[in-house]
Amino acid sequence: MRSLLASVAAATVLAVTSLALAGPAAAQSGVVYDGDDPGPGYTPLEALTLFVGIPLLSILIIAVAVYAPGWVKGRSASSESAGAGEPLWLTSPAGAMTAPGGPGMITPGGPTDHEERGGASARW
Amino acid sequence: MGPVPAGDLTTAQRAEVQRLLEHAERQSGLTFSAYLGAWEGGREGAEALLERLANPDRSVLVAVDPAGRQLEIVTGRLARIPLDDRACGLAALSMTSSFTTGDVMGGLRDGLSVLGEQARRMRVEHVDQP
Repeated sequence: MRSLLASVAAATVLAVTSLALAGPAAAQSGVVYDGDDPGPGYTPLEALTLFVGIPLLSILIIAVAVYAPGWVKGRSASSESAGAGEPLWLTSPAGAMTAPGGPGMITPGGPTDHEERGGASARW
Repeated sequence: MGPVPAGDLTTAQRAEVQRLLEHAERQSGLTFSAYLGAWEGGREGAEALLERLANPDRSVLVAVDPAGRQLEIVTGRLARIPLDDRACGLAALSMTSSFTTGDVMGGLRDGLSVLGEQARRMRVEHVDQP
């Protein structure tokens, strides 16, 4: 959501900057040539709609189209993990491993004098 | 910090844990398992969980109970040779550092990386790399 807001803010800044930079160019367009028929021109509301509203709406639609799949996936992922309470048990694919047994391996292939489990315990 | 719900991992996070387990297995030749949730019996209960694996002697179980704030790393009879208790203690320390801040995924990532690295098989020139 934050990135969407950042995109909209960036688009707004871009639109305003473009309008500001287009000002001097518009000032030079006062020259009337033969056959010119510039028409009545835009009202401020039409100009805002055309140059700000429609681009913003387009950006919004594109942003929603880009981010919507992520939102939907995130929601479904969180609903999957909401089965929380159930223990999660993951194991590496032991069948794919090559048991070390050749010379130089630390882990012996045969029985050792270690009879007990090892490891560590911690609380936080 | 409130308790972290058990099993509260997204699909992507589960996939990452699976990748970490596979990576640790490739590094060490040992089977790595991660259990996230509550279990009974403390250390003995965790050892009983290890017994349920296909090859417990060559397995390493990382059991985390976020709600009970308990971590057990259990190594099998053969797995404890390359992965001694001191290495497991180091991994437990790095894991609890993240768990304290509520970062279960970060703790698993750190712990499995440390365990895989510590249990890495010794490479012998002209044997492993002709």
